[in-house]
Amino acid sequence: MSKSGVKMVNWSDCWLDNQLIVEAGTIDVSPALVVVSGGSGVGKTTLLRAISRQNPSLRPRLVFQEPTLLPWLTVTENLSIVCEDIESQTHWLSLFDLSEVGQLRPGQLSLGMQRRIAIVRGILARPRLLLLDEPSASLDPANVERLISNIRAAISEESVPTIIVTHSPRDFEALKPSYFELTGRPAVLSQSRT
Amino acid sequence: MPFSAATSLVALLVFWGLSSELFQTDVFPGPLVVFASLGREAISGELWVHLSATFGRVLAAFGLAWITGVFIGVILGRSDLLDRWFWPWVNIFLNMPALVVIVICYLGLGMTELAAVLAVVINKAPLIAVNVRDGVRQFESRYEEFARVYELSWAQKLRLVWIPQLEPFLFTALRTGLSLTWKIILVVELLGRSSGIGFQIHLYFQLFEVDMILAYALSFMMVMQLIEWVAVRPLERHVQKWRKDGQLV
Repeated sequence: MSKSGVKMVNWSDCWLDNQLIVEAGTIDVSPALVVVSGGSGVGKTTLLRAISRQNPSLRPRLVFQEPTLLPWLTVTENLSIVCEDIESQTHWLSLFDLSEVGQLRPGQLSLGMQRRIAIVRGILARPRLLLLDEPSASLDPANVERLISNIRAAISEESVPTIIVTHSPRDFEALKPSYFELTGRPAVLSQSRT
Repeated sequence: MPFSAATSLVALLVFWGLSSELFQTDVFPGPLVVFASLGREAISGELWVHLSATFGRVLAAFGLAWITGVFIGVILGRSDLLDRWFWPWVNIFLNMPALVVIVICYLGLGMTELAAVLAVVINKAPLIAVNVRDGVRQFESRYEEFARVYELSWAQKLRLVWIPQLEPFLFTALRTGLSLTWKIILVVELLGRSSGIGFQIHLYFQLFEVDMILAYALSFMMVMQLIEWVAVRPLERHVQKWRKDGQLV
């Protein structure tokens, strides 16, 4: 089980414009990494937002598909918003192979790098639950591989329960996660093999 | 000042001098005559009295207009309800002729410094409010969501998320507001003050001394140009720095 001791994460029905998008449910996050797959528009991001809003006691940190680093700040300044400890910043940047980019601004970095920095920012915020929205989307295979190796390092170091939603679950096979699938309308979460 | 700008200004002076020589009329004195008049006024000390009076009014009026405009713009930008109610008011003030506002302020408050400054504030604040309102309405929802998820404090949101997004709009409000403010101040001074560039222009209009009119107008244009070089441009570079950094890749 994860260091944070979190086992179950719940959410209630998710409505959007008077339409039920995702039915209420529970997910077991004790295996540390959970991958939720589903087709486009099924409600994966809605589910993550619901989990983020409805579990404030877990200090959930959602890492958005669009990295949302503040473009007017350098990487270090972006990280300092959530953690002013420079040593921790340096440690995590180096763990994610990003030691050289601290003084650059997000606009000077590739999408893959921005995503990884956004994950570092999420981890540095000391969450008890980390939520990653489509972290491998629009990345080339080399970048996906680097991302996976970074997430693996993060899990072994911090062991924060992490839920990843993705439309390409196979990207994360190497991490041996617990797989779930979001299907139907309204969408229902169920365990799956991959 | 960049070399090309200096050359361009010299070319303008040459063009002015040649045109003046060509027309040979009292109502269009050349640059040498105007600069000689300007020099005389500067040496006598008269220029500095009126220049500082106008400059003080510009600063006070623009400062107040900017604060009022930003306040109104932020409120209307953040609240749909207040925007629906008060946007027509802003629009009416935006289109109210400056002269009407000036005359009403003088009639209501007398020929006072307060009336002069207030007239400019009423004139300019709506323009600044419109700029800022547009900026606030273009705030990116993804940064708002980031601020919510990462539980940023109100002060952090203001400093890190809102002001940087608003900077280009604040900057446009600064630049356009400043240049329009001083032009209105001249009318305010012309109609009801006993000091300032506008007052001097009125005086020399009555004396039909065109070189003095141009000398005083030129003096303030030079001050505004100086502000552009020493304050506005450096501020613009600072505001746009991260955008340029983003283009390096």
